[in-house]
Amino acid sequence: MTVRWVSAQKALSMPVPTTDSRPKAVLTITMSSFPSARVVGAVSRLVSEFCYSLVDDPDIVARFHMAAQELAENLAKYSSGPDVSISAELLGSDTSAVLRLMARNRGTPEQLRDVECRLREIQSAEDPVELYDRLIREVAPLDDVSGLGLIRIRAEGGLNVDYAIEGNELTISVHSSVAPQKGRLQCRQ
Amino acid sequence: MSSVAKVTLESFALDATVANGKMMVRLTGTGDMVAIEPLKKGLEQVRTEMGRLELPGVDIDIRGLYLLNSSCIKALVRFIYLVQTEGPPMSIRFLVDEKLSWQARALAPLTRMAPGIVSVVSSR
Repeated sequence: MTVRWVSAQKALSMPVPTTDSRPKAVLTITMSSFPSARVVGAVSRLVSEFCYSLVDDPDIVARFHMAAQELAENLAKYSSGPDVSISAELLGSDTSAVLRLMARNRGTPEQLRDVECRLREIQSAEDPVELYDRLIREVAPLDDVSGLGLIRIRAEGGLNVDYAIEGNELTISVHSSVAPQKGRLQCRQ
Repeated sequence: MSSVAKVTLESFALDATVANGKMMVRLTGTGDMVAIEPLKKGLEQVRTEMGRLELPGVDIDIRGLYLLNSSCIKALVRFIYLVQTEGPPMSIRFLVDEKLSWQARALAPLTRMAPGIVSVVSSR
């Protein structure tokens, strides 16, 4: 497992709604083996600590911690190859910043079709809470199926969810406007 | 006396006790991938025990939880579904930490799913 934590890096290609898309701080975790349950927990805690060092609001950090856990678990459960990564970035200016998580993995055509179907439904939902409640009703009788992780990020977390599929690689982006900790951020720059 | 098996893992614990005609289930640690199977098994034992003891309600205290993933939420959803469809009838009250806003937010769908059965109480 490789962990990089840098204060500035070339902007990634997935667009986010901010006037300045240059990352102010980046945490990147890459793995070339399937993450175990313990590693998934460690990754989400590390992402949460990183977010906490950048953002004043513990509530928004808790939302991103939840999202990081769901994304990291998805990497563990639904990757067809061992090369996976998750990153957290603070983009934009001190007055208009965006916090973004990005999870990347490879999937089989069937996995990618399934996840794209779910992500499209989540993205286009006018009322994500209503969609979450409907999906809960659908899976309630089932013993082993959850399928609630991604909708939870949008409905419960109130975070934006985007995705891109290029070849067999899936990238899921979760982002929200935030108020960064100015002092701490400036110290790192 | 409850015969729900106590779960003590490095990162997760489940402890059920009966007192004053009510069952109390305490969940502590991290509700992540490691916790899913013990949680599912524990909740099934809780349902069986609630029927055997003919108790009217269970308190599920999650104030000591650091995280609750979607699979653990799904385990709670299925527990509520089985109470609704197979019984035994009971009220399910979740105790959450008022200072950890994520706890009440994570459980809100459960109250929407079964408003007559499930409630969430915030405290310290």
